[in-house]
Parts: sequence; C-alpha cells; structure tokens
Amino acid sequence: MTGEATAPARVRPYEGMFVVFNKEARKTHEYLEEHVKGLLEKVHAKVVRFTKWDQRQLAFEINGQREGIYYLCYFEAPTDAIAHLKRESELSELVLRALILALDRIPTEDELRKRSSSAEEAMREGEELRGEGGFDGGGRRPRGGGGRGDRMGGGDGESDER
Amino acid sequence: MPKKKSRIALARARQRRYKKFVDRGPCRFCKKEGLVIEYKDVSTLERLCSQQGKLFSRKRSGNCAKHQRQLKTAVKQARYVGLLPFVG
Repeated sequence: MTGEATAPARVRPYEGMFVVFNKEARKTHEYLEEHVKGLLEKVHAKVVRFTKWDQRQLAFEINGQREGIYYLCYFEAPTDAIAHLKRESELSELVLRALILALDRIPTEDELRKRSSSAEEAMREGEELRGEGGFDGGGRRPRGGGGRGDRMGGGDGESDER
Repeated sequence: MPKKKSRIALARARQRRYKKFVDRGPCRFCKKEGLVIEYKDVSTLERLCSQQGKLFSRKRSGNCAKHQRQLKTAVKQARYVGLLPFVG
C-alpha cells in the first residue's frame, strides 16, 4: 500500500422522490419539507429544485399509513453520498419511501411540462386497447379439460409436471 | 345447410388474422419524439396495467420493445413509492 489519497467522488445530478407522512398531524407541512431538506444537507447535496409534487392516497399501506406527501427534488451530490442518503431516509421516522434516480442532467421546467403532456397525448392518440380482453385473446379462453392439462402431450421428455 | 368455406377463403382469413398482429405501424410512444416514460405519469401507467395491477403484454398494448422496457421500469418504480399497487 502506498497510502495514496483516493480521488474525490464524482458529483452527478439526481432526482429524489421522498414519500413522507404527517406524523404530528399539523396543518402546515413546512416541518416535513425542512426535514427532507435536512437529510439532503446532511450528505452535502446541492439542492437545485425542491417541490411538493403531490399529496395522495397510497396504493397500499406503508408503515400503517394510507396517505403520503410526495416531495420531488433535483439535486447534485457526490456519488458516494447516495448510500448515506438512503440509509438516513430509512432511519427517519417521517420518510416512508425514498426513490433516488441518477440523471444525465437536470431537466428544465419546460422539459418536464413537455414530457408529461406528450405522454398523455401519446396515450390519447394511440390506438385504443382492443376490446375487453385486447389482443391477448379477449377475456377467458375456453380450456378443454381445464388447467394445464391441455398443454401436455406435445412435450417429448419435457413435462410440466414436477 | 351453411355453405362450407373453400380452402383459399380459409387461408385468407388466417392471413387477415395474422396481419392484425403484424401490420400495426409504430407504437404510440414512438410517434412522439423525445418522450420518456416516467413513474410519475400515473394515469399513463394505470391505463397500461390490468385491474390486477399487471402490465399489459406488448401484443395487447402495441408497444415496441424499447418502450415496453421503459414502461416496465416505470411501473416498478411507481410501485415502490406507492403510486401503483403490487397486487390490485
């Protein structure tokens, strides 16, 4: 070992989505915002944009909570700080989930608006999903004999049975 | 007694059925340049998932392989943050 100093970690842009819950049931959510910002500051991340994305019902219960407040932030941080940030988020009692994605660059407001609108347009313009069951065969297919039995017979040596 | 279809008619019918899957043009997302499917587009993702919360097949949604992959990742990320259910 030569004892050379390791090169500092590369700084790159990230997108973070933090799902928090209003633990103290306060009317204002400023304390939650400050909490999330505090987590980012702890790992020396430079916050570029920080917004409250939504407040909505969760699709399933997380830590016994049915509702969550979503904070979306774009920040720049050294690559080795992300593991710390994830750990801090897990230890935090207010943060239910934290999704951190690496980006190539931080998108501008216009780009974000355009992206979401173009996805919606694509769905509108795109051909409608075919009928009830779509191309997959429209609902339930009658299965002769039922179950997986009709698959068998053709296989030579390869059987579905275990 | 119903008239029996000729062999040629049956073959054409089979061809038509096959064409339905093949000649469908570009996928809906390919038509939009620079489009990125994100986990935040919950309405888009919901429309491409079944009631059980399972992603529709390419055959059904008509997506190309590239966008189906993007969609898959987006659905998984949306599930993680509680925007979509794991089981419907």
